[in-house]
Order: sequence, then structure tokens, then C-alpha cells
Amino acid sequence: MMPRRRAVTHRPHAPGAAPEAARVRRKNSGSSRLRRYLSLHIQAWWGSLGRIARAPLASFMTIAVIGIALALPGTFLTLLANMQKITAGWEGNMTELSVFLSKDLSNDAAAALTTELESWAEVESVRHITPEQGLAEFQRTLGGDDWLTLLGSNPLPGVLVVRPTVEQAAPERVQSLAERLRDLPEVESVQVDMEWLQRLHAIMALIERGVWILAGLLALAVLLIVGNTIRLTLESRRDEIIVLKLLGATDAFVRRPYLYAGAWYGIFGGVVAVALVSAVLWGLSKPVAQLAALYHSDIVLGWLDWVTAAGLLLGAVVLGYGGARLTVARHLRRIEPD
Amino acid sequence: MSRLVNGPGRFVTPSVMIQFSAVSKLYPGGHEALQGLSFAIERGEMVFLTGHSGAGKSTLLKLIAHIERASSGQVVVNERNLARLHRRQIPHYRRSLGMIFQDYRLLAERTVFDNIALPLIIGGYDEREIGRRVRAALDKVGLLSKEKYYPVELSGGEQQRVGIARAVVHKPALLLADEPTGNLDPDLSREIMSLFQAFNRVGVTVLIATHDVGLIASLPYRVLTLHNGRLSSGEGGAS
Repeated sequence: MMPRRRAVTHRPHAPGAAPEAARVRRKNSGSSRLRRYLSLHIQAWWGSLGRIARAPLASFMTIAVIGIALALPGTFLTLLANMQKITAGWEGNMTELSVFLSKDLSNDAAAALTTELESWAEVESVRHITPEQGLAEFQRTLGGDDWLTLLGSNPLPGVLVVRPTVEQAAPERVQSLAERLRDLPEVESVQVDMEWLQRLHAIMALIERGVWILAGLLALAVLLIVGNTIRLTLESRRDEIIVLKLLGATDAFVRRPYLYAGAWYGIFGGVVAVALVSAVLWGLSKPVAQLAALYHSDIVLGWLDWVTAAGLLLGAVVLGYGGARLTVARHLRRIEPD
Repeated sequence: MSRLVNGPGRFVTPSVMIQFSAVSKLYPGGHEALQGLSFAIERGEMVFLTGHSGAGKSTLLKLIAHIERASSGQVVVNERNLARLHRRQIPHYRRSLGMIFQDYRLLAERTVFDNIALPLIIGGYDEREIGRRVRAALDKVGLLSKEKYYPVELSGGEQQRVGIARAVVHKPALLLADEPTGNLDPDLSREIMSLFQAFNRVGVTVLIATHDVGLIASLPYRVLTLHNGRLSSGEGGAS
């Protein structure tokens, strides 16, 4: 603070000395009020940390409960995000639209259509299966005699197997792509096997909803835990609160350290939660890798991403502060000198 | 709004520090702690308040400190009508007082320095000013060497001197003491009294509730005697 004041008074090209001095005085009175205000807050901030440290066991229990309560939804959300990433891969790889062409369409026209469809933004790739290729495939699968002589002529239409891009693989997008393909004059019909995809999405949505409901309940639990801890602290500091009120402390002054204590519980609880989620994911990563290897897949369990981690921390701080605020508002009024 | 307040039938002049006008205090349950009390204490006066236990001494101090509210009548302190004090104004009002308690009411986990600094921290003084004022207050009560001690490490007399230092550190115009020597032996009690006298000499109004009649008999100050919630006859207004 001192160097700053000196910097102001010793500014090289200061105008008149007197107005400068007046301005400095004004500035100091304003900034010193701000400084006092800030220093009150900083004192309460560190003071409340000191108090938490002085009751390590009780504080640890509260922090651990907050950490576990937040780690549960944190873990589920991370696993869910992993699942969504994996199934998004499936959708991209496994969703295909079978476009059956009109029987009178020549192979050349079909090839031209293939090229056209490949230029569509929502299309990843198009594979053209001519009636001849289709029949050959048919024959290979079923084996046996020459089916063509049996049937007289090739009954199979040309087929374009269209694979949408990964971004277009969501069920409703695929559906609209199918519509668009169906409207083409060359196309007889379009088949999408969407049912499994829709079911998968419905299950995922259900799980996600469930996780958020669980998160809401656990957030409520954190509010109550912090509230209860702060309430006990308030009771144990009854005498001190009364003395402060007798000495003319405002409600805001008395309240401040307890609100900050709640925020500290939140911060530490959030850190514990992030650590627990990371530990759980680490514990699961090996079995997941083994399972993936059995399926010849290269699926790797993703770590807690920093957005989720920051969200956990922020949520924890908000809940800690909020829990303290709710309790302090109710209980502090009841503690008055008598 | 004028800070002068019209009492029943007369005008309170700023030279009066405490004005009670027909003040009664009825506790829930029907106990009438004070009955129709009227008196005034001038600015710069030092007054003792005596009476048997239960006579209403503590209640009277609580009314002045606005810990309790009068059931009827009017209490005016330092030109403020306490009945009109809004809840939010109470902290600021209390900062104009210095309060001393029989049981000292020091915060056990804070040092002597931090205890005395409390009123200044509450009042938002800056750090250098706090250090200066706390040491001045410690000097006045003769405990300059003990600023880093905790209350439990001090004797009763020393703790009460810390209590007094805390009550005067923010230079209040009015000192209220509730049985300040109640837990102290006669020598220490006289020492504490002489501290109050010293503050009174520099213009602080002092009101001390005590049942120690022997201690105050030799001192040249006005004595208000309460008996069953009333002032004993012959004692009333200051003028």
C-alpha cells in the first residue's frame, strides 16, 4: 500500500503540487475505506480457515461427507460421459441406411447418384452394391446352386449403403436424412435399423436423468450437512457472538466468518470429491482396458475432464456457502445478549 | 430529524447523558424489575448504582445498553431515544458505549491485544490506528507487557483491567460497569475504581452498578440506590 501511495505523489509530470495533494488525500480516504473493508473480509476469510484447522476432526468429518456426497454424482457423470463417447462411436460406425434403388435404374445412373450423395454434408460414405454384386453376396451366403438360372432373372435392386457422419448419427438426424433420401426419384425405399439406437438413447437419457436427480438429492444433503455443522459451531460460540454484539458488531460482521467457513468446507469438500472421482476412475481403468481388449476394442476410460472438475469445485463452494448462509440467517438472530 | 427529544413535559438538554422518564420494565411472567423510574445523569458525571441483588441494577444497565427495552416510559442516552432505535442502528449505538462486566467476558482464544482490539476491528479502524490505540489503552491499565498473553494466563484483577481497556479503547462517551469488582478482593477493587476515576477525570461519563457499599462510601460521587425497582426517596434528577 505504501509504495502505491508514494508512486502517486511522486508522479514525474504532476501538475500543481497543491491540487495533487488534495487529490491524493481524497483518493486515500476512498481507497482506505475500501482497504479497511477488504481487510475485514480477508481477516474473516483466513480467520475462519484457522478455526476449521483448530477443530480438525469435526472439520474433517464434514469435509469428507461433502466430498463423498459430491463424488457420487461426479463419478456417475464422468462414466456417463464416457459411455456417451463410446456409443457416439458406435452410432458413427454402425448406423447405416440401406437405400433401395428403382429396378430400372442403370448401374451407371446409380454410380452417378453415389457420387452425388457422397457430396452431401451429412453423408460420410456411400457404398454401391449393384444387383449383380447383391446376387453374388446372396449366393455366397446361402451357398448351393446357381440361383440366377433358378430365378430366371436377377430380382435384386441396386442398393446404396449410406453411412451418415458422426455428427448426423443421432436418431432424429438419421430419420431426416432417410426422409431426404426417400424423396429422391431414383429411390424406391429406404431402410434404417434405428430401433436399437433409439432404445440405447432412451436408456442413456434415463440414466442421465437419474444421475441428475441423485445429484440434486446429494446437493441437498450437502446443504444440510454444512448447515448443521455451522449451527453447531454457532452454538459453541454463543458467548463470543454475544460479546461481539455487545461491542457493537453488526450482523454482517458476526456472520462473515461463518459464511466463509461454509465456503471453506465447500472448497475442501470439492477437492476431496475431485480426488475421489479420480481415484474411482483410476481403479476402474484397468478392468475396463481388459474388457476392451477382450472385445478387440481400444476403448480407454477417460479421466475427469477439467470442466467437470471445475464444476464440482464450484458447486461445492456454492453449496457450502449457501448451507452456511441459510443456517446463519436463522440462528444468529436468536443469539442475543440477555 | 432533530436529535433532541421531547420528554414528557420538558426539553432534554444536550448536557444530559442519560435521562430516564417514568421507566418501567415488566418481564414476561409478571416480574416488575423497574417501576416508574425517573432520573438523569449529566455528561461527565460519575455515578454509582447500588441496591440489594434483584433490586433492578442489572436491568437498568441493560436498558441503557439496549439489551432490554423499557415496557413503558422513555430512556434517552446521548440524545438518542432508545425506543426509536431501529434494529440495524443498535450496533452503531453500542459502539458509543463502553461496557464492563463482572465476569469480564473476554474471548478466551484471543490474546490480550486481540481482545482489546475488538471494538476497533468492529469499528473498521485501520491496522496502524488499532495498534496505537490498543497500546495506549494497555498503558492506561498498566498491562503493556502482557499484550501477547491469553486471558487464562492472567489474574482476575488483570483480566478485569483488560476488560476495562477493551471498554475504553474506542473512546466512548459513556462507560457502563456491572459489578466490575464483584470477583475481586478489596485492594484490587480500589485499584479498578481508581481507573474509573481516571477516565472520569478526562470527561467520560461513568455509571457503575455495585453492591459493595463499603467501597463507594469513601468516594465523592452521587449514589443512586434502587429498592425493589424504585429509587430510594430523595434521589432523582441530577439538577
